Amino acid sequence: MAFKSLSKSEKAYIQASLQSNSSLRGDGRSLQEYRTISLETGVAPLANGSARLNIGKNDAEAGGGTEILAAVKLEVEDIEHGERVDQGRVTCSVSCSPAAYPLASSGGLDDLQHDYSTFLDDILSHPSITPANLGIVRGKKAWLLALDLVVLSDSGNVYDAMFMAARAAIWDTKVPRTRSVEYRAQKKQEGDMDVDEEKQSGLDTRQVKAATDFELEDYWDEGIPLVGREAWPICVTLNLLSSLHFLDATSQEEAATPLRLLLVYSVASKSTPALQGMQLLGSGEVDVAQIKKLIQDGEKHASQLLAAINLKLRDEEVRLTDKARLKFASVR
Amino acid sequence: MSSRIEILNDGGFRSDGRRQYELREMTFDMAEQAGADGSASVAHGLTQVRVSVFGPREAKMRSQTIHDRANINVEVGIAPFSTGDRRKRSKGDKRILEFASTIKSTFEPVIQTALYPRSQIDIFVHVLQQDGGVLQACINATTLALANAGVPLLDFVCAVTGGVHAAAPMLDLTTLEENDLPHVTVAVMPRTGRVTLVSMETRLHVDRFEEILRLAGQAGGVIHKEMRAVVRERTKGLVDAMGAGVRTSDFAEDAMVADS
Amino acid sequence: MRPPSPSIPEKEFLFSTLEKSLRLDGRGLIEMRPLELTFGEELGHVDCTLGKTRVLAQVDAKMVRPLPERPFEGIISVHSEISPMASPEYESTGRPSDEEVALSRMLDKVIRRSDAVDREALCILAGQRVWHLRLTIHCLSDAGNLLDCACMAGMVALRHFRRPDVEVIGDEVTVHPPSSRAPVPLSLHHTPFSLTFALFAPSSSHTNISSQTAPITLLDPSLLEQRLASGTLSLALNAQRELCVVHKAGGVPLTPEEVLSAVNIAVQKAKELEKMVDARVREDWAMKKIEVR
Repeated sequence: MAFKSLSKSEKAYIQASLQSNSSLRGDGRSLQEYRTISLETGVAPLANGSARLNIGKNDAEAGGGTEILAAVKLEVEDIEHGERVDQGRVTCSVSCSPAAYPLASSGGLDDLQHDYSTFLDDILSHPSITPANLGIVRGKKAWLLALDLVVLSDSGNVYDAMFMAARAAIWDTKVPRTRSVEYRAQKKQEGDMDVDEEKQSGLDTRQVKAATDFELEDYWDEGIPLVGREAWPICVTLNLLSSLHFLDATSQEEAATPLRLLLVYSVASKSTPALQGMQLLGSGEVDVAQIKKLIQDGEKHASQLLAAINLKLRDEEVRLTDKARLKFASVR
Repeated sequence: MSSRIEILNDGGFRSDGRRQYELREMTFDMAEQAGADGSASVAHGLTQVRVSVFGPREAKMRSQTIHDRANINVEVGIAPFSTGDRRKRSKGDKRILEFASTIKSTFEPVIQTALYPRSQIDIFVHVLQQDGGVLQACINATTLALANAGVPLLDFVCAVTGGVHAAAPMLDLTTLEENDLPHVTVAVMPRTGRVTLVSMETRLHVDRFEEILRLAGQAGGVIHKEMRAVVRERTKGLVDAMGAGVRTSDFAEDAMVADS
Repeated sequence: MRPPSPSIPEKEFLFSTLEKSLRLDGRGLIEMRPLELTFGEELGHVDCTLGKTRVLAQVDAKMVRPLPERPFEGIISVHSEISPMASPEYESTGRPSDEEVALSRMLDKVIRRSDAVDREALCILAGQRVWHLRLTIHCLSDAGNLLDCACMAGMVALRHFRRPDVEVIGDEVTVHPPSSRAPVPLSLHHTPFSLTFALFAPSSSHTNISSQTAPITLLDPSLLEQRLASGTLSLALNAQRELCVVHKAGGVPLTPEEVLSAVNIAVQKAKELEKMVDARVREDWAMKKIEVR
């Protein structure tokens, strides 16, 4: 839990053990090790894509851990002329359950939500990572992808968890297939008003050039995944304690660490990671040379983390398809 | 919408394949969530609600304490993606405030607040998915979360929604049905069969109301059975775990007796 | 600040009289305080008093563009606030108090959600012009049961109100001032009345809510009764035996039979109220000579 106050001696104990030669952590992990991450997609049936992510859930007691629920809703939006005519946009907001921060005042909770929302929105709404297939009708209509995250509980490392949950929700999102339609004035011939003309509707769906509106495909359709979902960024939080850094801090460790460096990377397939965002949280100073090294280290951690998540997401995809198939079979 | 989808067809089936009095699949999950003293996730069909209970604990604001009983604080959050159309509601929304105050006044007489003077019990309700019967899900989840937190209650509070379609009463409505039909949420206390909450916002004839009130009372009993089973199972797990502890301490005592 | 709770002797006295089915103001258990309606100079201006509880309601109408999603419907908005004027207990600071939320939600449910006003009849020109009715509720004094009084005032104001007659020729809208053509009353589907019962747990068990004896049910609670009651049951219904709102959250639990008997009492009361309101509105309209015959 954030806002957890830690006594001086607790703090010193955690710091000393982290800095000791064998660098000990309370739960026996090594410095670069994550807690168990559990991930499930397709948890919110009314959303276009959703995921629930938990870091550090203790299976024995069935409790604990940082838990995030992320969901994507697609809405049709009219686009103004001029700006980005064939692209949709992404907005992102975070809300925190008061249960995640039971000690925070309602004002404090609002501030926190605002901080999280701005950080995520700044990075995730950038056009460079906006999925390419959000456009519907060029210059007229596009999908607005609204990504909402709910922090259900926080026991450390919320930022990494939020980005991973967002990635999973994006991965799970399917965009409905659409067809453009246009209205054409019916040709009128002068004089012969009563000539039997073939009844024609003003709607024409073939060879549309100046589409004005769209319609959904008639048959049941799952939709298509977002283009460019591989490049959706993830975050690695490096917790800095003098010269060493460690990953995935618990809330106690967070309270004992003065500085945190958030690094957000986007990895398009097979290329080197691109740094999408960076933020230094806390008080203190880091010199530039160290930051350079940290960024390199972060890159390594990010690609490892990403590989693991991608593997899991592919598994989930298979699981959901299998589930759907089974359900379908049982109905039949 | 009503023109396209039949609420109740001639064969007596509803739009999701249920019969008139059939309830949707219920999931009651009392697994602990981080930090909370007690929590529960409840799903009725697609509607999902999670409730966390904190306390009895010291009140955050001194002015909120009551000298002879515990103060109950209810906060409701609704996920923006929970409905068909995405909508962000602010905390000050009157509907949400009314919703919170309904939950609060429902549980105030049920919780034995007199046992905890000058303290506060926080109930945080989070609506994750809405497909009809949100109040019902919130009340059931709050009952379970309070039980899970070990807060002494006088009885369960079991809620269910009922509606009437062309003089045919139905139970546990989905959003689709709620939009079209007059509906009532009723919460019963199963021990006495009395009704503690009745909430209706749509026009309904008195005779129909009578019918649905009685029906919902019975359905509350069914839900109670399910809820009680979950609580029993959960408690059994805890007792077993405690039993394991007792045995070792017994053993230690035996050893001490042997020593002396 | 919370209102100071009533003193112990006050509390005990009230409980002991209730045991004998007596109320402090001499009413029967299901008797309402005298209801008085005073109409103002203008149409749709009503001063409603229920005993010493007093609420002023006012309706005005103006022409606006309809909401894009409902081009054939007029707009009704209800504004209410409880100012410190009603009672020193209410403060005018910050977040709306529980009472204010309850009042505005109840008004919303009784007047808007129950479809009391035919919204389509407020349409002048589809998609272009509709009437926007604004109902403003001023709570002047709260001596108990403000909720019912406010709903009553709001509904009566809507019944009393008449909007100017309009004529549509093609796309042109002509508004006839009251001096040239008689204004027309609103088309109302029905008139729901809100009735609140205060519930008292039977004696000797003010805390034990699971006891078997029937609780005492009072109609139209006074301020003291309202404060000491363990729960209320609010009903809104019309003279056609249709319930529009039922709201009972917590408080003394009732058996379904007890709920229904309260509903039956309310049905009777609603019929009486309907008769009285109808007579009073007609009387006032006749006095004002709106229609020239």
